[in-house]
Amino acid sequence: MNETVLVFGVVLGAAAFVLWRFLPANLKARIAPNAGSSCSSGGCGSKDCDGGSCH
Amino acid sequence: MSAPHVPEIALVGCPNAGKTALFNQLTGSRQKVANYAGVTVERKEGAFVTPAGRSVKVLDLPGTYSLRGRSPDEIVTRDVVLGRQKGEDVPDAVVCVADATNLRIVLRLVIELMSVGRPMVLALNMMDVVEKQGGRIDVGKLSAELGIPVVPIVAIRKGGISELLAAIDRLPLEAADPSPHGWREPTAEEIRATHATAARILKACSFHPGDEKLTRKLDAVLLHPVWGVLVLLAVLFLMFQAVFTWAKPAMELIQATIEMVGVFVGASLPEGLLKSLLVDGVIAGVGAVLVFLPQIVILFFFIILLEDFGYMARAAFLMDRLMAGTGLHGRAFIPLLSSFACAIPGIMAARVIENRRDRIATILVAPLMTCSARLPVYTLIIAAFVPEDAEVWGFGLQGLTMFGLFATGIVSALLVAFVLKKLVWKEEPEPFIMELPDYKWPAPKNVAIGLWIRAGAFLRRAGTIILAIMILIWFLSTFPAPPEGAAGPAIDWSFAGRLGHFLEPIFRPIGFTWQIVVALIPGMAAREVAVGALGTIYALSSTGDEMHEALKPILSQQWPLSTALSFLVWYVFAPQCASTIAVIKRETNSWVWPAVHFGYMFVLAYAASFATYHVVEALTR
Repeated sequence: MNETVLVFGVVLGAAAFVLWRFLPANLKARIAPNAGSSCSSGGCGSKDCDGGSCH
Repeated sequence: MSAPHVPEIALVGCPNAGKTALFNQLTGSRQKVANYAGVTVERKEGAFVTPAGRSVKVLDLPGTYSLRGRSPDEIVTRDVVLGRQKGEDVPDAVVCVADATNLRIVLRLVIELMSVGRPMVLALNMMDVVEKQGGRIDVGKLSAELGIPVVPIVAIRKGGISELLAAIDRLPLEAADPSPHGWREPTAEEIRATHATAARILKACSFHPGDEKLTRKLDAVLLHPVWGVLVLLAVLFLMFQAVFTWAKPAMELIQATIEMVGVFVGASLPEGLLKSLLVDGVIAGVGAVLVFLPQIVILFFFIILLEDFGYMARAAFLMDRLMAGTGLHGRAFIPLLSSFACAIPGIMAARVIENRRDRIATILVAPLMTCSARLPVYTLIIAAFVPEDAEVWGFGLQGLTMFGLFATGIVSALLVAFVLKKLVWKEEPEPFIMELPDYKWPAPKNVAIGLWIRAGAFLRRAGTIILAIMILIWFLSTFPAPPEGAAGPAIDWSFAGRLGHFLEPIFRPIGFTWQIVVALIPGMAAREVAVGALGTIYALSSTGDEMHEALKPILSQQWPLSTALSFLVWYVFAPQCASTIAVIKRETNSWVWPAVHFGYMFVLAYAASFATYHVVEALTR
């Protein structure tokens, strides 16, 4: 595989991941209703914010 | 002819007292018995026949600590007991189920329930556990003190159930008042009086070896207004010293491994984009964050240990005196404590505060508490600028500086709360009553599981969101490439470099370079990313021998002390977390408070950094 294609693929994947992570919950639910919510705030990285285990 | 009245009994008690287990024993229903607080959230009705042949209905009510009703569950319990609940008959009697191992909590509820005046039995559950622990409860004396029948039971093994049924049979069920009770919320004075009565009865009727031997002796020191605060400060101080000294070997090992991987990958791949992405982006960026894992594990080791030992509630008690002076409600301690891990659960925990202004004040100051995401930033700058062997009165200066940064966060939060509550809103906090658990040795398994969860969460973050952001930063710092024959580092020509140079004039008065400005932007996604971003930016900015140097020596060579301290101060105050802003919006259901939060923290951060930079510049020039 061409190195440039591979690198830009990784960058695009990372951009999509970050975008998804920070997408508001209502938009996420519309796009993928069964995807399961991550931390309700989006960026904290925990699925269990209520349990206080964000970091 | 109308059907005969079937007496109804309400099962009331604190959460986890064993109401559901007793309900099952009485009615034979197949309801799930669990140990989680608030499991009885639905209305559950059953029926049984007493030994005397009386048919009785029984209601299993949600757990509550008092009749004041703070949550919807507790309000249902209160309203059913008082006969105010729509669609429910007024109960003819109350069976209060008590966890005998924690009699102190339930006695207050018993006293409140007795004031309602319905026929009542106290079922003392888990008496077997009390005896196993070497404790004892004088049931006859307790019954005499309270003036109601008291029956020891073991709900999960049917122990004492026939005695309880006999006691129910002796209750004057038909004579109960069928009208709703005119109960009112007790005043703070009445609550204190109830506590005093409960404490007196407890002392007269029960003996717990833990209470006598350990808890009381330790509390005499740990809750002392002077010694208690000194011990709290010493504990916090020890914690931050340990974060630096214990973590050092593990950090050095991780750092060496990351460098080795970087050298290996660099040597294995040909020059090109992929090599740059892996070495400068992924390894330099994520590695710069990963190296702080040992410190985060040590910090949480202390927090979990103190929590399991029962000290955290004491710390809350000590802090409550201080918080009341600033106008914060006592319940704010838990949200503020949670914010040491992350402001997000802290802000969400503020839901327990009823008064809206108390809650908003807590939400606004919670991000000032030092969250674990700040730790990598603090550690990096302290390690780069504070000499490792420097001591003040025998204590390491690095640990002292970290302690100072945490203390600055706490003091600032209290000052902001004071300004809001006392000067702007001019409100006094409501009284706060708190249950102090007995001391117990932390179970190693619990501590290990807690650490595993924390370390796992940190590694997941490093492997997901931080990794993704590092890749984007590498991209923004690499493209567009410099034109042919351009001099200087390539990053100057990149998107990130241009953005950094564009924004630099705003931050120049506080001593920030364009590299710092660039690192602050992804730091909005997660604070600790700034460290990784600095790693990537300096890796891409450097040339020749500097290329594989660790970030710490680069910063100590390139930043003046004034910039380093200004950066630290910025991190204490800056509103640098987009997730926090989002959660404030959600919890307050308004954009006003996120805007207030961002505005006041930005102004505070800028002003404090400005002052720090210029004072240090003047002193070191």
